[in-house]
Amino acid sequence: MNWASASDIAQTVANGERSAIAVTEAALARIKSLNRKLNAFTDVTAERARGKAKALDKARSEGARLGPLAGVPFAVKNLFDIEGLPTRAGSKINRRRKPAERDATLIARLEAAGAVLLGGLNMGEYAYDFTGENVHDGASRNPHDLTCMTGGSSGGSGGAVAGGLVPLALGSDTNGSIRVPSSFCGIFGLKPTYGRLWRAHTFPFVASLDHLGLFARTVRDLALAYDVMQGPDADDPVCAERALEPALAMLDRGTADLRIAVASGYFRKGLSPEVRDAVARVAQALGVSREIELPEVERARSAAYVITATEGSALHLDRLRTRANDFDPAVRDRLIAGAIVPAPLVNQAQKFRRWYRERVLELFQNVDVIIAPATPCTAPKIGQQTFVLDGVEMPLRPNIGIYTQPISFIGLPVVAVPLALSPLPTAVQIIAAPWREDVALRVAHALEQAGAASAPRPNI
Amino acid sequence: MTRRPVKSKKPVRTEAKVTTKPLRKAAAKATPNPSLKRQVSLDEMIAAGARALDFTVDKAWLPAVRAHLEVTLRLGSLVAAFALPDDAEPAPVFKA
Repeated sequence: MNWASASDIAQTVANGERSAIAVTEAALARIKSLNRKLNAFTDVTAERARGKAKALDKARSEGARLGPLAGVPFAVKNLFDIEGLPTRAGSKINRRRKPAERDATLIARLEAAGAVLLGGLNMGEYAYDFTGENVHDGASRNPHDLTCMTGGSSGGSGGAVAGGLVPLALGSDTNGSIRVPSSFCGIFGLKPTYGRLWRAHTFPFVASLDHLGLFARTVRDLALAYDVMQGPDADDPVCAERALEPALAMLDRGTADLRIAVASGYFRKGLSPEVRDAVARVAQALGVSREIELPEVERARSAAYVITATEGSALHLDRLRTRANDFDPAVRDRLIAGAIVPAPLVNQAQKFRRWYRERVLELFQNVDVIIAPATPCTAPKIGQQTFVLDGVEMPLRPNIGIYTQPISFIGLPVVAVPLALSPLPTAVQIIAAPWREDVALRVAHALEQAGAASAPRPNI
Repeated sequence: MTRRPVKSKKPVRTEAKVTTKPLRKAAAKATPNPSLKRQVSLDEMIAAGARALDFTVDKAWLPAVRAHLEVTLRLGSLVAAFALPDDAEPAPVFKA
């Protein structure tokens, strides 16, 4: 059961082959057994989960029709509000907050569809992280090699799904925090269009760039959960007023009508041989030879960096004044630096962002999907400080996201598709035009069906 | 979406304020070295920013803060060098 998909679990629970409480107890047992190794969960909401599962079983016994995620265990990055818990957001400071009075909206939507929340997941402090390391809670560990990073900042989400603790997890992505763990842990990840999913009742990082999204081991599971989470929310002014645009029913439409190209230029520089091979394999599986060059990508990444540093600093300024010693030093020092950046640079970055968006949208008039690497390399070792890109030794932390930042900068929807390379997996970004998550999911599904993309099962 | 965190009743203020005095001494010794001049300039910027925003920067943190600031300013300069018209709208536009 530990590698079963969410879709299969929901089906077996809905038709009575297995009770929701049995599924829940099995998941809790696996967490108890493996979390010491993976350090994915920071909070396990066992009693809440048992209560929810029993209620589902009771409802079924009384003839009620269960939701599309009936009995599916899931967990959330610990920046999501979970009723009764302080929303720690990976920090020491936040864990003294008063407990959340309600769940984040996305949790409520998943539970309304029958899913069962098992707890909160480890993450990089305040989401300012690409590694999955955390000085307060310890590093999330990669199920494929416990000495390696999960990637971050949604590190626990990546480890929990890749390690078979849950089939589904929620995360956030400001500059790559869903796509990087998807790549290092070898699982599917969906970062929807900016404004698609509610951010209400989660702890923010960079309002201009924050997205919420999800992880799973199959594309069908991504689409299933994504569909039930869509819709506007008055509590989040950024959430778009759009009609529901379900993706699950579109998955099997194939890719024959889609114009697909591989990102060239910037996205070809600095790749490790494994990642270069992964991009080539995806292109080959899709029969794609066309290339496309996005304009001014390096500047786009730079602008995302500036906005992140400054907005993140502004958010935490009061805590920098009063609790500086309680931050992870690596986060604190970046936040302090961000507070000192002159305002004209930030203003220019936001103006450039609009310019870049318009140029990239012009490209999408002639292409439906762009393929790009997710990370420059496979998972580095925990604690590693540098890596080599194109023969040059570079600081690791800020450069893991060089291929993800220019994409989330303008809010494009992306599915990260994993390739089961040995010894460690990697992922490739399937990038679509705004609001076309369905297209990115279709391509990911086609790759999965062709055997080119899959979430490898770790030996733990 | 954002709730303010519970603040510590006794703010931690054990770090020394960054001062520019020793740094100016260092600058005086090494005026011909442009990289050190740049370092001093950043350190003064950090000290001024910390004063203006009322937070403290422990001297032990300074090398890392300086390094991060240098990278951010370098990347910011790249963005600033891109010519945009005066009427270019920033990405987030307020709607009343």
